[in-house]
Amino acid sequence: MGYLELKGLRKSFGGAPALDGLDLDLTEGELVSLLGPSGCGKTTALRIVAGFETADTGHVVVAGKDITSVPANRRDMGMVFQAYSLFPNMTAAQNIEFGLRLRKASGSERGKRVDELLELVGLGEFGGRFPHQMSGGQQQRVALARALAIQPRVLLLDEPLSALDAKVRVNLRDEIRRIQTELGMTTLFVTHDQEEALAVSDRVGVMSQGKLEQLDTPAVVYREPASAFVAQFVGVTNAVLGKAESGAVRLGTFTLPTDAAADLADGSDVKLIVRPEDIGIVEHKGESNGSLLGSVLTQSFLGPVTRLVIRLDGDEQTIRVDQPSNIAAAYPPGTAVALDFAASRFMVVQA
Amino acid sequence: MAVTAKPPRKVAGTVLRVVVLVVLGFYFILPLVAMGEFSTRGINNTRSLDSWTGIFEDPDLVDSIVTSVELAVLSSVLMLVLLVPTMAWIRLRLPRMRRVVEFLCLLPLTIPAIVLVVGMAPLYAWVNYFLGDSPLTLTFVYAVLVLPFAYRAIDAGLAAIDLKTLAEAARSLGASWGTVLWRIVVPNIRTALIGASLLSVALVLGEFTIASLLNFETLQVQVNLIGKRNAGLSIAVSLACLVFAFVLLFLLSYVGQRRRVTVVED
Repeated sequence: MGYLELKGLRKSFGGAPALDGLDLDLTEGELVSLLGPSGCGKTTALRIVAGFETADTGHVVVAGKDITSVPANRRDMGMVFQAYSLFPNMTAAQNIEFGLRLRKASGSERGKRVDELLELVGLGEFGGRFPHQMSGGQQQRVALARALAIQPRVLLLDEPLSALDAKVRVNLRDEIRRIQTELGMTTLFVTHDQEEALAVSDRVGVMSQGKLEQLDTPAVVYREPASAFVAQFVGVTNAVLGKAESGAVRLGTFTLPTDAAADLADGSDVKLIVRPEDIGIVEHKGESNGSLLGSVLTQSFLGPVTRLVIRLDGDEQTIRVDQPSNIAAAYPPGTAVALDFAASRFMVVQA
Repeated sequence: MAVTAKPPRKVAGTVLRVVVLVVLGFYFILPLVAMGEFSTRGINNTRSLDSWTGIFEDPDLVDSIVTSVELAVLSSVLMLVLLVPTMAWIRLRLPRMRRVVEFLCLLPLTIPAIVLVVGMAPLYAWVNYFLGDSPLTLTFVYAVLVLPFAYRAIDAGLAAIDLKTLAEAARSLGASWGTVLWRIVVPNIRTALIGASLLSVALVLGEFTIASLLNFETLQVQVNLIGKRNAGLSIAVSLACLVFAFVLLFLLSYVGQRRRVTVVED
């Protein structure tokens, strides 16, 4: 039994389903991300936990207590929003203090807590600043401190980084993870940025059309996606069209034997899903020896690796292959290459 | 050198601005100066403040001034109490009702005062029956009358803040709806509320038709009566009234700015 449990949540807006029976368990102190494209229901799920939306059916349980019908202001959920949400008429310190005042904490207690929290988010000197005197990143830090001030039972993060610059975003996301681990705060983090989700989460829940497609550690979600959707949403992936043929996938003249194709009807259209870093490459000279052939179309340098886009021979399809940059330099555009799937992890799905 | 000289277009723009300012300034100030001149005329081309001192010697006039000021305050308060929670709630929870409420609030603007009175008269028979025939009962009509102006001002104020996010942030921190309204909404649309109140005060202080037709002795009704026997006094009161409204405008905008500055320095 988890600390925060979402049980069979369903919600539709004007007939369009946003959540279609969502079940999710968070153990205490765990950070779980909900990841998915916009409209997949992740924000709706978070808002139902916060109490801003009511589920059509289903329950939200915290520490064994059903809070489905508890109003938002009595749920003790700390929330950080996507939009800047600091109260413009209050200083950073007054913002952080707000929840404590409502809980009738004494002046000295409030002062002490505000100082602690400003220190925690690295803004010790900023207590007297108004929101308009702070940068976006600083505002979100204060918003985090404000949410933590009430010692919430669960911390809810609704894409808190998406309005920030790339650099600030990475810093703050690591900061959030550090603070969350330090406090052992059970956290539900909603994001559409897969890199963000993979980087900070204990577990990642990938959502599509109101349902969880997969819920597992970042490494498992990345390495062993449960579905074609997860594979294609998390990380960069190739989806090459081919045909199933007696326990193998056929791409032009190339045949890739695989157990994954065993259940598929011969001649049916399939997609071969494989990550760019999982494909080997050798320069191709002379005769075809049954490997998948193509020629390098473009190269993009990404720092440690270089991504080669390769056009398959006798086919308009392209495939992306990542190689260490020093190796990729040997394959300028136009080079004929043979692709090697020997060490690859791949999936085969019905197209 | 042509480099240092102002481009002709810029000069023309400045000239145009000055001309517009002078013409409009003249247009607005001239009647006020004329009123001042007229109300300080004494016998045999002398200057006299008799009309001005007379304001405080006419007990009916003093009563009506008190009544109008009370009405202005009460109407503003009633308008704010009705409108602010309603409009905040509609933005937060019932966005589909927005058009309807906007239409209702703008309606008084389209109905001529005389028509309003015809409709109000039977209603006021009941109001007077239950609450007595104090002129302060005009508060109810006036609060309706100021709705179109107040609605616009408050709507602009609410549109300028991210009400939904702020309200949700406060809710998640444990605020009741009342606290959200009082501690979050009101302080953040203060300028709009001051604007709405100011418009209401100005409107109530200047309203004549309804008060007169419903037989209540407000300031404007008195000014009209006095004008029939003592033109100097009525002009003096009118001018005083205008100046009062200007001072109020100045004070309120000053208060708005001052508050902001003090908050920043906290």
